[in-house]
Amino acid sequence: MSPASPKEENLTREVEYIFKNLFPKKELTQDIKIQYTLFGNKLCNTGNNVKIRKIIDHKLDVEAIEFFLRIRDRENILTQKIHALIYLIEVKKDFYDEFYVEKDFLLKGLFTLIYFTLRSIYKFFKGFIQVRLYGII
Amino acid sequence: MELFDVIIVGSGPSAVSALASLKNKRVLVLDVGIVSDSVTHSLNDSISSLKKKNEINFSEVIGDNLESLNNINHEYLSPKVKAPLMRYISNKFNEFNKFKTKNFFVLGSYAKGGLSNAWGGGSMRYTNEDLAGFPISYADLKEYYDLLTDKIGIAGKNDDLQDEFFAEKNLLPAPKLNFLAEALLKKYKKKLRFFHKNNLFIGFPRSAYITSTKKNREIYDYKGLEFFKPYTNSIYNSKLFLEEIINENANITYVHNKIVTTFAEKENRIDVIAMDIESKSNTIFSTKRLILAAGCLNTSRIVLNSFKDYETQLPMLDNLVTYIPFVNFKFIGKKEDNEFIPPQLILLTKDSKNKYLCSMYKLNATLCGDYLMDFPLSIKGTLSAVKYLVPSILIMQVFYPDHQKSKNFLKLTKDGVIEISYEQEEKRGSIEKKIISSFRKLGFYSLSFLVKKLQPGNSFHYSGTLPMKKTPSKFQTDSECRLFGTKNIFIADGSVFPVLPAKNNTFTIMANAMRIGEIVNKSL
Ligand SMILES: Cc1cc2nc3c(=O)[nH]c(=O)nc-3n(C[C@H](O)[C@H](O)[C@H](O)COP(=O)(O)OP(=O)(O)OC[C@H]3O[C@@H](n4cnc5c(N)ncnc54)[C@H](O)[C@@H]3O)c2cc1C
Repeated sequence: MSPASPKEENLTREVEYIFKNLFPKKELTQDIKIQYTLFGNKLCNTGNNVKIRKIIDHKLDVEAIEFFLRIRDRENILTQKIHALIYLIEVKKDFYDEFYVEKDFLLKGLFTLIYFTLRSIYKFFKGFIQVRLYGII
Repeated sequence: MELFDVIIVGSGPSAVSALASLKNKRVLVLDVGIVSDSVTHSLNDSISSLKKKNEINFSEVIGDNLESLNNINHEYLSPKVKAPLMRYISNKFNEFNKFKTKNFFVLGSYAKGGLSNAWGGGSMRYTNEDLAGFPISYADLKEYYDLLTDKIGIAGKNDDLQDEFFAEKNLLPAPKLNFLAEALLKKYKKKLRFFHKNNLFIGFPRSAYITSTKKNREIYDYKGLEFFKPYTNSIYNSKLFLEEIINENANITYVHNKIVTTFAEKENRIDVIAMDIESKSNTIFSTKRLILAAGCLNTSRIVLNSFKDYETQLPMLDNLVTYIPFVNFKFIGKKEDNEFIPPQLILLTKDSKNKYLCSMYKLNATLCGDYLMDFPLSIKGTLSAVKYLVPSILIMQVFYPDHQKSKNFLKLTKDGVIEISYEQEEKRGSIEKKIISSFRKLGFYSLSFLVKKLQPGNSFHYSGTLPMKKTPSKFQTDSECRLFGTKNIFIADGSVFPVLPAKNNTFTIMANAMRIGEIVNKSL
């Protein structure tokens, strides 16, 4: 097996950090890492407008920063990478429960929606502050 | 050199419909004709069931080169053409076709069967009101609509939309509805007075889906695999009909791998020049009549190229599209029944100026990644809420009508590039507001800021470049779709539409192409 290039090592660090933030209870498998790296390698040709390294180095809130950036400019590279990660996990059986319900959950659904709408507003402002404070773009 | 009675260019719905009227003649079909050579292994159940069973084959659903992720960092591609096994549909099109455009989305196909490999099957007739501006009327098309309905199989129902779609005897049963659409229809029936008074009519779409036994065709299995797997036999695809006609008629020849570049009309024949896509060498084919049915963009290229015209701006039409997401809170968190076809119901509405056709879809068949980033929530919020929210969501696709405008045009440049300019004069938003406020009465909620306005070109209903007119002039066609200034060259695709009503146009393209086929047949 050939040693990973510095760029690949960065991408691996990136996916580990993002994944842990989004799915703290799940295991990041090797194939997701490889596929993410493949995507990152193809994608990085389009230019890098978000300093993802800084997010990792300062252990910032990647969820908040992504949400703020997405609302501002949907085509930023962090949103693209997280979007890719979603595609990669959604075809794995381990993640089935994240995407589908197997019984009716009206109240839980309504509560979840209200809670996460309010939380998203908070995350938006948190993202805004971290982007400004740490010069993420 | 062999002199054919007719050469037809293309194998999409327009070409194959014209061919259906010419079965008794010596016809050569010239086509690029790319086919899928993939053999599918895993795709035998809906994507959600395969995920649950851990039976997703990554190569077939996402792709070894991550084809399904294409939308993320490339231009927008419909879910129907981006899955790895569906890539053949747009394969080579951009290699041989160069486009220059600021804001118009272009999707074309060199596949055998053209874009019918990807279409949604929406097959609505045009009314006389829709045909205002055409030099023909419904009576000219009726016979062909009827023949097509019988031949290809159209599912639907004679309901509140029958004044618009026509009451038909030969419809196949309407497809199953999802609980959400069922609830909507039930509520609508209770509020009929309000909706009719406000010019809002809801009913079933007419779709080229096989929903009960029909010769040689499979019944649609409601698994949604047409987004991932080529050649779903239960949805009309002109490739399958072309092959049937060729098998039954020895006088019809199909030659593929050819890109028709130009034609030249001589005293008693037409020479058609075609380039082989492998060897790049040219061959000349001769014919008494030529029918161009290569899809609006390619037919326009062939015509402009043949006249070496690099100046003229041909009119360009397309239905502008917006999307409105609706939520019915009662269905939040409901266990999904994933087996239904994506187009569920149609809303037809009018304002003082226009008529709008709005298709209502369920998000069940595609990958969740295709829509997740559209939710206005943080990603953890989306991931936590989506499974509860999706069962309660209906997406409405609104089509706008289009007519000639001087700023919207297509032209060919000397270096072979097609330039498309399309300015969105139309202010979009007010009809959506009216729909949003009326749908509250049905328990379906949305907000104006959630309405998504798609870039022009996204209806894939490209039309109007060589419009049919009663008294045509240069780069127009007559009511028989004969190209002005020629004797025996006919246009059979959407290029001939002088206006574009807000309605799926392919069924009318097909009926008109059959009509032209018959005109050509009689002329021989
Ligand atoms: C995702 C999607 C969904 C759609 N859904 C609907 C729907 O529900 N209802 C509806 O009415 N319409 C729909 N459409 C549009 C519909 O597919 C097109 O209107 C229809 O396919 C047009 O048929 P056509 O024969 O004119 O051209 P095409 O289908 O584009 O076929 C063109 C043919 O010409 C050949 N060709 C092109 N150039 C050359 C050349 N130079 N030489 C030789 N051969 C050539 C190609 O190989 C191809 O066979 C949809 C389209 C898409 C992409």
